[in-house]
Formats: sequence, C-alpha cells, structure tokens
Amino acid sequence: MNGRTLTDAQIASALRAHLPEGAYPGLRERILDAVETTTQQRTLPSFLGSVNAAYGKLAMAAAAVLVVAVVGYNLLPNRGGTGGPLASPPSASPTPSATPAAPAMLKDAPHAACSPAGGASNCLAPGTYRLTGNVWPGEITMDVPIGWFEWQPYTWDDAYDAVLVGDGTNGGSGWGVVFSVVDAVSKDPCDPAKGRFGRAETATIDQLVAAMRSWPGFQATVPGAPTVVSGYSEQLVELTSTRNATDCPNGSVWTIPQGGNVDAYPMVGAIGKARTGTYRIVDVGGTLLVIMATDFPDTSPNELGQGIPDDRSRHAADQVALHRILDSIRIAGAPAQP
Amino acid sequence: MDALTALANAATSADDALVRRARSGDPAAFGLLVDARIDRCYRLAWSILSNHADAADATQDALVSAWRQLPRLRDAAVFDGWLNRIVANAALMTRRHRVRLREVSVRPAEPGEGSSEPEPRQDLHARSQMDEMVDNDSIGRAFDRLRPQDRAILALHYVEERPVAEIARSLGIPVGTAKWRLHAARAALEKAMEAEA
Repeated sequence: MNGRTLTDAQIASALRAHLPEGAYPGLRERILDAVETTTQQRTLPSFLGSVNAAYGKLAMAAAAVLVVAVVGYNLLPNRGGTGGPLASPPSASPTPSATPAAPAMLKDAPHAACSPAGGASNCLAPGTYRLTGNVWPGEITMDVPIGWFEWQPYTWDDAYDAVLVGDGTNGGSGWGVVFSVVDAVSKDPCDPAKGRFGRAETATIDQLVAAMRSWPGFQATVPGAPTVVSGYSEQLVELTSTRNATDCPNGSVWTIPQGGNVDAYPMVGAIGKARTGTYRIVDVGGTLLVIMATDFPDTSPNELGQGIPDDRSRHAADQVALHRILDSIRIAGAPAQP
Repeated sequence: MDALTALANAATSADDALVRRARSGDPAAFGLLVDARIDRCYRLAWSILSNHADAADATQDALVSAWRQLPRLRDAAVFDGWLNRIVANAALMTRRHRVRLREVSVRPAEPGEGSSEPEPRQDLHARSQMDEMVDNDSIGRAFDRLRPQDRAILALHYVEERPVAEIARSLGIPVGTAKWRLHAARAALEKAMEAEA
C-alpha cells in the first residue's frame, strides 16, 4: 500500500492500533491526589483566560493585551521588592539589591485595589513579577504599578502574556503591553490562505522587519537604529494598517511556538478605529521576543467597541505608567549569545 | 434520531453541569470529568511524545493545570477544546525539554523492525488480516516520523473524532487553518509512508 493514497478508514484503524488504548491504571488516582492538594486560581476576573474568545474574539481580547517591556537586566542594577507586592507603586529609579530572588509569576501575583481610592480589587498588587510560564527566552521581569491586570489569551504555558491597564472587567481596556515569542510569521496577517514564511526567513530582527514591511495593507516604520537591551539587540518598529475588522476579522501576525495566534490588534481595530502598535523586537540568543505596546493616549479600539467615547487623552496618564513598565523590563538567565 | 439527539443534548448538559461544579471548586465533579477524558488525554499526549512515562507525566501536569485554571474558563461548553489545548501544550513542553525524544520520533524505521513480517498464511481471510497488520504497522511507523503537531491533529481527528471546530480551539487556530493543517498532516503521513517503502 506504500505510495498510494490512504483512506480515512485506513488511517483511523492504523492509528487506533498504534496509539495506546488509554492511561495505565493508577494514573487517575495520581492526578486526583495532586488535585486534592492544588488550589484553584480564582482571583482573576472572569474575562481573563476565556478560551471561548479564542479566535473570532481574539482581536477584542487582545485589546486587553498586557505589554511587558524588556529592559537590560544585565545593564540595570537589581531592584528591591522582587517576588511580591511593593509597598508603593514602583518608580523609574532602580533600587540596588544585593540578593536578587526570582520574582513570582504574574499568575501568582496577589490582587489588590485598582486605585489608591479603592474600587475594584482585582488588579495586580503593585510589585515586580515575571511573565507567566517557563517558556520564555530567559526570565523576563517587570515592575507593575497600581491599576493593571494580567491578560493571557491561552494558557499559562504559552509564550503569550500581557499586562493591561484597568481591572479587566467589561471586556478589558485593550491597552497595555503584550509579550510574545515569534514562531511562524504570516505572509498576510489578514489572509491565512497565503500561509507563513519559513522560520529561517524570519529568524533575525532584520528579516522579521522585512516581513512586516511586506504585509499588504500594513505600514511598518523603523524610527531609529537598533539599540541594546539587557545585552540583546532590539529594534523598535511602529506598525499601522489600513485594513479593518471587516476585511481582516481574524488577523494573525504570527504564531507562538505553542501554536496560538498573535492577532493584528490594535492596527486592525474592532470598529475601524485602528491605532499604531509599537513593537520592540528583541533577539534573545536567537529567539525573537516581541514586546508590543499600545503607546497612544487615545481610547483603545477595544474600548471603542464597548461604546466608550473616543477621547484623545483617555490614556495620557497611563502612558507614563506604561513607559515605566517598559523601562523596568529585564531579561535574566537568557541563553548565551553567539 | 430525535431520541439520539436528546440523549446527546442531555450528555452535553450533564457535562456542562460537571464543569460548572468543578469550576466552583468541587473535586468530585472534576474527578468525573477526568474519568471520561483521561484516556483521550493520555493518547493525545502519547501521540506527541511516543513514550508512556512522559505521556503520563504530561497528562498529569495538564489535568492538574486544568483544575487550577478552571475558574478562568468562562464557557463550560468549550471545556474539551480547552482541555485538549492544555494537554497538547504540556506534551509539547515536555518534548522540548527532552531532546532524546526528538531523536526517537524522527528515527527512521529499520528493515524488519517490529512485527512487520508475519509468517505467511494461506487462506484469504488470514491474508487480509496480515495485510491489515502490515499496513497498520507501516502507517504507525510513518506516524511516528511526523512532526508532533501533525501527530496531534491526526490523533484528534482520526482517533478521537473531535469536530474540526474543537480541534481548532484545541490548537488555538482558526477553523480554516485547522482544516489546512489536517490536510497537510495527512499528506505528510502519506509521504512518510512512501519513505517506509
């Protein structure tokens, strides 16, 4: 039968014979024993991690994308307060510490009021945290101020994580910093049928920028020369688009290594009010880490989609906090550079 | 047909209720969900890892992770796709950390390996059974040589018979992409079969 087309029945029959019938006896008990001693995480807003939003609603969910900036761990002194909440919102001035400890992951962060005046209590407690999951090129940490929340489109084990301003309710703000690791880059973010570039074609910063410049209906601008962050090369790219939610309903700029899609938000707005996405592409030992920030003062497309009025200065104050987050980003324990 | 539909709806409704109970912290409800899915989860993990011990570890990691994250799942109806995704991720991460598995999974089958050369039989029925065994063995070896992502989507479709929409959700991709990937994985399997010749 080699060399001929297989039928569905042949494949199904062969794979059923090839794969194990099921788990071995005892695994169920092992799992349920572990469950008995495992606490469920129920502190995050229900909006977060809602997998049913997965694709069609990803653009809206991405509005809540957490953007985490990665800034030279190797170049900056260590700061205090790692691994837990800070007594006060972090400042841009680093505080030396002689004993750096691994900060807690964002998913394990305690929750606190979203503003000094109180209100919703489901924001991240201000502090220094690392991105959720052990899937990142190095340990990526940042200082999170008061009034932000973590948003993840998929699971804790994906290289896709975000910190967004607000409390995450009512659809989220869609305004903040989003981290992702680049795997397969789309040839056209709005047309999956055109396929992806080969990984070798987008393995470097320059190649990824070239790919972004080739996207139909998108404009990628490089505002300056590459910089060095935590000892790693970084290139800033500003991305805009003339595409809209009608002709690009399921935008995907690239996939992450675990297979999920990173959408085209905020360039392709939910209701046609697109904004500029600010992409920091960092080459961390051969892995491209992208930090996307919604670095604009206007009401986000996600908020516009919720009926919030267009306000040119809605996030003006948040931009100060955003820049502090970006400036606090560090990468530790990354692979050695060639 | 109506009775079957009613039965299916009742089962779905009961599962949704279990998910909601588990989501609110009921480990017994979660145990029932595990009972109905552990074999499928294990096969999915095995399809990626080709190794019993690692598949068991990945299945355990995934199901415990699912329990922990369950309060964050808003729609009980998408539980299966959500769970498959966690299992696939756990298996892929396990595989990434164990390079030796990669070597096993791409190792070309050696001539005469396994049970591909059974004793000749005379009657037609036995002949047919033998052909099927040979075919199954060849397809199985070809399957082992595919990329883990291809193996996962083939297992979900052909063995677990999951709907394409759920497979798409499991893999975090659009339905159209899932269809394309399924087609590509099948083509890869047929190509790997040629290499088995």
